[in-house]
Amino acid sequence: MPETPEKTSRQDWVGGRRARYDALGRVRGVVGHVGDQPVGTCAHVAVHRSTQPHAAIRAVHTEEALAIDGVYAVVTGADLHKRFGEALLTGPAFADQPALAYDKVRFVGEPVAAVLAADLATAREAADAVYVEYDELDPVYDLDTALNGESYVHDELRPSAVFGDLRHLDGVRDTNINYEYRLRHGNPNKVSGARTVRGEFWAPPTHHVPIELPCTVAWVEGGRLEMLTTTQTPSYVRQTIADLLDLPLSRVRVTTRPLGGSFGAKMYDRLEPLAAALAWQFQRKVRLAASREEAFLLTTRHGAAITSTLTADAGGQLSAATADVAYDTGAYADVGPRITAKSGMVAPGPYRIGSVDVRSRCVYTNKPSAGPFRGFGVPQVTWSHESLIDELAHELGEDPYAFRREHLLREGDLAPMGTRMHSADFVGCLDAVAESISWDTQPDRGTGRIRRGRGVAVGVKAVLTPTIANAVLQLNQDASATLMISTVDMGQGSDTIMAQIVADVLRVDSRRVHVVRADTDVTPYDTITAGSRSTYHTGNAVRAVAESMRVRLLALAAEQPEQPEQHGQPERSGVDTGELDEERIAEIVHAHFGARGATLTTEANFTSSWSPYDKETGRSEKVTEHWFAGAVGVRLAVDTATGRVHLEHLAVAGDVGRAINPALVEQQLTGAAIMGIGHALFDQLVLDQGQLVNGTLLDYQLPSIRDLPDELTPIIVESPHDDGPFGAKGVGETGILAVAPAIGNAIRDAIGLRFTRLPMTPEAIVTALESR
Amino acid sequence: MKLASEFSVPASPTEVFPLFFDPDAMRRCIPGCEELERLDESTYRGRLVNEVAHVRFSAGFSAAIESVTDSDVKAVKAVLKGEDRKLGSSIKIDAQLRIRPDGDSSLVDYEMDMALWGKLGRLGEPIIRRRSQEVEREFAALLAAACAPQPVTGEPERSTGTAAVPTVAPSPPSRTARTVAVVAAVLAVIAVLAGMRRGR
Amino acid sequence: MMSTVDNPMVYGGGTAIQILIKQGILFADNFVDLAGIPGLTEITADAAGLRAGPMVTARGMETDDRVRRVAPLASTAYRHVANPRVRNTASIGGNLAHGDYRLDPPPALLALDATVEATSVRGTRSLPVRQFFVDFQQTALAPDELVTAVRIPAQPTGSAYRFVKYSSLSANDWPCASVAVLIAGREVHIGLGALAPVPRYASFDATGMTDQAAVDAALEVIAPLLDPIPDVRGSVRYKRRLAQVIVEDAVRGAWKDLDNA
Ligand SMILES: Cc1cc2nc3c(=O)[nH]c(=O)nc-3n(C[C@H](O)[C@H](O)[C@H](O)COP(=O)(O)OP(=O)(O)OC[C@H]3O[C@@H](n4cnc5c(N)ncnc54)[C@H](O)[C@@H]3O)c2cc1C
Repeated sequence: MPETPEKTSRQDWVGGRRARYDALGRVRGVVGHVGDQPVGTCAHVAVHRSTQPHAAIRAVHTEEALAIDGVYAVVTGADLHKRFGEALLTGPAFADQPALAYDKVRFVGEPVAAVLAADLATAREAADAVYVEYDELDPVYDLDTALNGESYVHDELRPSAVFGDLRHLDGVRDTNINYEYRLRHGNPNKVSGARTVRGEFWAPPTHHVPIELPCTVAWVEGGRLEMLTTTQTPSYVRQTIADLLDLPLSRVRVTTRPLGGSFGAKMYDRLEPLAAALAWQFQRKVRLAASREEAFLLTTRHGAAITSTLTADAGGQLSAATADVAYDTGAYADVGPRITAKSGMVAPGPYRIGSVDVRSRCVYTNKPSAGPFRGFGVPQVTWSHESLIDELAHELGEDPYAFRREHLLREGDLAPMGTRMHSADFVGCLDAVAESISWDTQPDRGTGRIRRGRGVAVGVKAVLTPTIANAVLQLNQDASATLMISTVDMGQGSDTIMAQIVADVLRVDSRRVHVVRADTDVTPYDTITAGSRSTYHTGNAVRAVAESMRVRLLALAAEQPEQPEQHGQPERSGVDTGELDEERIAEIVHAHFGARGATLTTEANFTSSWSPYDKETGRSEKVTEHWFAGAVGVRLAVDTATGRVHLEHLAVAGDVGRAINPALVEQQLTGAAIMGIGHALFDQLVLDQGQLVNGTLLDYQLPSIRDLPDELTPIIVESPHDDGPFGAKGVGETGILAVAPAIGNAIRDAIGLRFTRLPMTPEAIVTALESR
Repeated sequence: MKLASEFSVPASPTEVFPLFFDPDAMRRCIPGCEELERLDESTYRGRLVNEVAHVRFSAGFSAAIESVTDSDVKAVKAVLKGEDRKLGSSIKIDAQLRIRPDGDSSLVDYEMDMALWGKLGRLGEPIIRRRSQEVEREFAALLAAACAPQPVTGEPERSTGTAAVPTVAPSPPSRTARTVAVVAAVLAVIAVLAGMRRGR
Repeated sequence: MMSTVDNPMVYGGGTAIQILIKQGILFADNFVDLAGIPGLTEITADAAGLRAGPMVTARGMETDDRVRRVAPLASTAYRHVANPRVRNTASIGGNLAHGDYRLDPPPALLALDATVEATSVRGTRSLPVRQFFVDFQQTALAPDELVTAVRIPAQPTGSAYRFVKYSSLSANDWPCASVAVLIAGREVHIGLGALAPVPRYASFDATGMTDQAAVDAALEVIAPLLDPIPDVRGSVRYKRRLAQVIVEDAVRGAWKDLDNA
């Protein structure tokens, strides 16, 4: 959507509320997504899926499928394994997931064979005609069986080559625990607590349900593997495919289109390894498109069980916190081990606590694999710590808001995992939501069928660290610019704010800055677009690349003979004051090259660093580059006859350091809160003996417009980060962290019952009321 | 998914019981059962075919007996497996079936823990539960008919085959194990029927 | 045509059919698209009531002035179907023929004593909606019969009604329970949706009753009709409980309107 260029104003620089450059196009459906792209002649791929949760593959019969008209080929996992060997196993933390299962299947719905055919319908028909003989193995349906049983989803652990800290796990057998993180500080067991609260919490698996479905097209051209795919992680995918096909990186090209939402669903190894393997094997173009039902099987959010305690000493100080966390990662580890550590370390919550003991484990089961999901495992532990501290406040007769406020970590405080707090204004966020929902005014709790209550909760999350971001800026002679980064815009608006950053530094109209879509042939390496890291990391690289362009321009201008009479605006020379504008830039570049349309290029890198966890204590001086701080306040009504919860007001605050674009920040906070409402009240994947029962949009529940609170208030809190671009940090996940516990706490306030299992459905509420 | 139910057959356990020993009788009682054979002492294999609105479904199933109790209350525990290739689905059931006297009649009750994997698993519980009731009703009616001493007129309608009068062959106790075939068949039928939803 | 093609299936709005096709569990060889047949989208009203063609959309029933005037209970029930996108496509014939136990309009049509016109090569017959839902997802239609109209008697003057739909998860979900209540001439008609394998109907004479007595009587007549199917939306126990809550709400609400009239 071309926008009408307006006069440059601060509105489109840093701090401006510029609308997403592609907002209209997205709403009207004219932004072309991967699945919309014409692909010409290609082989359409459908997969045959396992009907067993855990079984050895005895034989795969493909004859019938091959005999169908229009079928080009049928490939089994064994075929691919023969061709690619162990390289067929991929994954971001563990190399444990085959593009097609070959030795055994590990969940119902796992791809076992792939059909290449002239069209999708034929491919699907043939995929149905494939027949597999299995030898059943004992299934591992849940965490309990996984931890205490004798059946193992994987024979041995296979940490991927890239992570040194996982090497000690290589070859470990007879376990379903692929990773354990331990945080120990002080001695929580020695603390003689005045009051301890304890809970067994459960957050179920959920699905991302991005509107755009995953789709991958792969082909071979000039001996190179090229791919157009729905991914948040183009640089990762390129590396994975290069490893799989044993090619130099220069012979793999991964490109994207704007994503129609993702939330973590389109990261790491989804359709891409299979598409690459098939395209390479047959040296032809293949297209894999997931149906909605298939998308449910590609990845999920980790279900998590947390047993935890929180203790206050006689003086009312928080003396100890413990948590035993188990993440159900399903059949494949994916990024589960990372989630396990990064979430485990914040399991005690953002409080000043004397002693902590956390054990966080990542556990294999025979279910669809769980991977990254907005919040990276943190909402699950936030559910635990924010319910506990609320309950502790009630037990001590304290106001839950004031009690939190007293114990929250402040600037400069050392968090339980050993890292200092900076630019994480928990108190500011909490105050903001409390004020917004008029915490001081007691709700009319009611005595009849409808009961009212209010609740607050706070969340903390670390940004993904260490990561790498690069940016290349090409300045065109007409003072427009082309920015090359590998950040993927999936609706969050990154292309818009990156342009705002460039524009702010160069003092040009941000509409003149074009952000090139990720294309590994062109755009430089970037770790991933995830974990709310891009505004800070890539934003820093973008700011640096623009700064270096500015310096370059000023240097060129200094070399050029002064032309004070130009345009009759002598004050425009501005070299000494460092002032630039579009006209001046055009002149400088033109004068330098003596040509219209010439380009100047600069590049920049930003890399964050961390210090790894101490092997004994799990602590780290710098576990993360920066923190996300968020809070949620809720007022609600419970219909005690039906159990239905009606949200009257929800306020969500996030400390973003500095809002590059406040409108987009508010939208992220709002969107995350809405997603969180679903998780709190009804959104969950229901599995029965390994079978996903509600894996269709008919049965899977997402918040609709009618589930929104009567009032929803996003609040931006800004405590600038010393090293953030203009003080900024990301915001994609901040808003979701504390939603479920804030709602749970408000329900507690309304009806006096504490829920520890999500979601808090009307039936769960009615059942609890009845058995009171 | 757990399913449990019981139904009454207007004949005493001693009359009903032998019926379960006879694969031919069972084949006729089970809606859509085309094959039923015994492979060895404790395993059986069969095939169910159903036709609804010109669409033919065929599901193979097998049953393995885990334990048999033959006292006043007769009980069988078994693991049953079925597969519908066309629908890319498989089914596994841990089942227990019991027969006990109830006046002049017998009460047959069953409990099963059913796992339904694949496309059918997405259809959800309501359809499965509902279909299982229908199959149970039909089976009970056919079984009752089979217990009648004379060919029954006005027998219940059925989708495949006709209810015939069984030849009640008294069987040696060791063959009690065949009881399980009933459960297997009933459940495989459920699977098949569940697949035949045609939108109305 | 239905008698000449192989394995045919009527295609109304297609909102139910498309889902089954996507799930890969529908195997029909031919679709007979009613959208191509003229005259099936008409609504006519006379003193006796309404006659609506099978291809009138749910949205049409919701918004049509005549339906709103003559049978507001029906219009209200159609408004509760899904979302505007589905309502704009779903046909009332398809909604009936689909025969699902948890559709919203059937309870209202039951309470209103609507009739279905069914047509085949053998002619046209009239089926009371109260006899239309035979069994789980099974209607009284023969395989070659089409719904060619729905007739809805006019709501008597001085009558009162309520439609209450309750979704247990997302607010926009299918009903976990729904009820239509029509009180006409002291007779209380109740249609229930999603609470048994088929939509169910009950009625009682409320002559001389107070509102509380009417509620009690309503709860009594519906009790034997409840046979909910457990699913992700609720257990049997929960659905039974909900039935009581919404029937009470609906009867009480309608009763109040009567008193106020
Ligand atoms: C997302 C979604 C949400 C929904 N939520 C609700 C809800 O909240 N409440 C609710 O009540 N319903 C709901 N529905 C169901 C919807 O009301 C039905 O799908 C719709 O009414 C069916 O009408 P149709 O014209 O689309 O039928 P089709 O899909 O065209 O057909 C359905 C069945 O009826 C047959 N048929 C169609 N027309 C005729 C005819 N004239 N004569 C004979 N047979 C015919 C077809 O052969 C088929 O078997 C929802 C549907 C969707 C997709």
